[in-house]
Amino acid sequence: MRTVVCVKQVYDPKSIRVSRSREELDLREAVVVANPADKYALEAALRLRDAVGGEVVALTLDGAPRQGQDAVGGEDAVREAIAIGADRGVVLTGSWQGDARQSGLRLPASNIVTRVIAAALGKLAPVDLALTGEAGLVDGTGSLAPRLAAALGWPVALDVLSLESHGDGLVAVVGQPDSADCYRMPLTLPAVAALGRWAERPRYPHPSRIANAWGDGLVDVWDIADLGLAAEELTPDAEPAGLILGPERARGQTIGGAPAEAARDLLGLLRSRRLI
Amino acid sequence: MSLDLSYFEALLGGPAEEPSGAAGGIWVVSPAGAFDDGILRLVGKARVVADALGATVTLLLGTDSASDPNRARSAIAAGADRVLLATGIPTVADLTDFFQSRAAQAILFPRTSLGRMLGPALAQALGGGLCGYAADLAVDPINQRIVAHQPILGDAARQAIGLLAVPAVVVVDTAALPAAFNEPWRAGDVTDAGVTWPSAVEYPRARLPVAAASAPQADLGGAKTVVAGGRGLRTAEGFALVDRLAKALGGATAGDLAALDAGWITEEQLIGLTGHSVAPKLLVTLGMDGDTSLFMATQEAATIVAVQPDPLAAIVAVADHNVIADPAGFAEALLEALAEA
Repeated sequence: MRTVVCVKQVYDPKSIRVSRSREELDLREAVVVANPADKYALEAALRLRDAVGGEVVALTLDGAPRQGQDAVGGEDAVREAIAIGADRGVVLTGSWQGDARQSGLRLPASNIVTRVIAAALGKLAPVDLALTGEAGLVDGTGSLAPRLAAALGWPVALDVLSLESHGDGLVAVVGQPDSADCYRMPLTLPAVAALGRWAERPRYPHPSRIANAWGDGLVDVWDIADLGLAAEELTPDAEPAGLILGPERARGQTIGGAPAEAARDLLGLLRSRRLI
Repeated sequence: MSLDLSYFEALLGGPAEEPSGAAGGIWVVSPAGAFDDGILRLVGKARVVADALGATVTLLLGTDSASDPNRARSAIAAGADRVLLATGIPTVADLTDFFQSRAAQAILFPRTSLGRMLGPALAQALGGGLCGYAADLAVDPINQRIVAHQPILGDAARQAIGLLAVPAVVVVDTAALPAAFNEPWRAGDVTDAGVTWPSAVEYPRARLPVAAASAPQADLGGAKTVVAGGRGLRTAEGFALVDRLAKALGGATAGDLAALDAGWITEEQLIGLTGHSVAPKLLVTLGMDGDTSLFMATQEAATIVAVQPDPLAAIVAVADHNVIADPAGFAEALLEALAEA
C-alpha cells in the first residue's frame, strides 16, 4: 500500500504578531513549523504501514520566497516527516499566478494547490491513500481533502480518528467534532482522508532517524513542469484582499493592594457581575 | 503608458466588469435539511450580499422538509426569495448536476460536517472560487465580487479573500453571523426542487473507547468557570491551589503545556493550541504569562482574571482584571476570602 501524506509548512501562531498600525501580520520574527495537524495524518499512515506494509511518502508544496527574506522551502517539513518515519519525500515547486497568502506563507490559491498535488499523485501512481491533516494551524479551512477527492474522483472521509485495514479496503473510524460518538465508515481505495484533531497522538522522531533524514536520495524535488503543468494554466480562483482587524480589546483593570485586600476586592467585583 | 479607468467607469455607472452569473443569484444549501437559527442567519447574510449585487436568494433544503411549512415561511421572513425543497441528502455528484445549469453566482454552505465536505468538493467540480471557512461575507463595490472574511489565528484577525471564479462557494461559520432577519411582510415562493437524492448511509455509532479519547472533557469544554495554572506556580503544591480554587468556585481545572510537562495536569486538562479551547463565563489564570496559543484557546472566555507577577506580561493586555502578585500567595488569600464569605 502506498500512502501519500500531505504536509504543509505554516507559521507558528505563537511567533506571529498582528500589526495594527500596518494592518498586516508582522512575520519578521515568525518561525516556520510543520503543520501539527499533518503529523496526525503521518501517524495514521505509519500505523497503517506497520499493520499492512507498504510505503509512506511525505509530500509538500514549497512556499515561494517572501520579499526581502530567505526562501521558505518545504523541504524541512518533508525531512522532519522522514525523521518521524516516512520512507521518502517529495517537494513540489514552481511559479504560479496569484498569491493567496494562506497561513501567511505565499502559497497559491487552493485550486492550484489541489491541481498540483493531484498531478503529483498521478506521477507517484499507484497511490492507494492520500492523507491530510484536518486543518491548517493558522487559517483552519480544512478544504484540501474534499477538494482533492473531487479532483481525483476518489471517496473522502473527514474527521478520521484512525484507519484500519479491512479486506481490499479500509475502515475509517470517524469522530464527531462535538461529541464522543464515532462510527466506522468503509473506505474503498484509492481514497482521501483527513485526520481529525482527536486522532492518535503523533510519535516523536527517533534519534537515529533524525540525522539520516537529511541524507541524499530521500527527497525528490519536482517542478510543475515535471508534472506536465504550465504556469499559465494555474490561475487562482481567489485572491487576498486585505486584512480585517476587529476592535482592539480594552486594556483590563488592575486590582492593587495587599493579597488579602485584593482578593476581597476581586470577589466583590465578580459577585457584582454575577460571575460567581 | 495607459491609465486604468475601470474605477472611474464603475463610479460613473459605466461599463465596469459585469457580475457574471448574476441571474442565478445567491444560494444557501442546507444539505441535510437542518433548519436552525444558523441557517436563518446565513439566509440573512445571503440577503445582504444579494441586495448589493441585485440578485435573488434561494434556500435549497435537503431531506423531506415539506412536512413543516413554517420552516419555509421563516426562511422567507429571514430574506429568502425562494425556498426549494428536495428529498434526501445529496452527494457531490448530485449537487454538481443540480447546479451545473443554474448559473449560481454564489453557493453558501453552513460549516457542518456535511457542509465542510460538500462545499470544497462542489467548488472543485464546478470550477468555482472557494473559501473553505468564512465568518462573514461582503461585496467589493468596485468589481462586484464576493469577498469572504476568513478567520485566522483563531479569529484574532480575518483575511479578506476575493473570490475570482464563479460560482463563489463559501463555507460559513454561521455562529459568527449577526442575528437573522425576521421580516414577516416579505414574499417568496416555496417550490419542490423536483429532485430526489439517495438518503445518506447511516453507520452504526458507538462511544469512543477511553484509550482513543483525548477528546475534550465535557466538564472543561462546557464549564462556566475554569481555573487554569501555569509555570508561575512553580511547584506541584502551588498548582494544587488551582484545584482547590476550581472546587471552591465550582469550576474545572486546566493548565498550559508547562503544567502538562511538569505532570501537574493530564492531557484532558490542557488548554491551548495543542489542547482544548474553552469558553467559560469566568476564566481565572494563575501564573500564566499568556501567549498566542493560550489566547486562541480562550478567546471565547467572557471574563478573564489573570494573576501573575509581571506587569509587562502579554496576558495583562488581554485580561479583564489583572492582579499583579505572586499567584500562589494570592490564590491562598482568595481561598481564605471565599471561606469567610
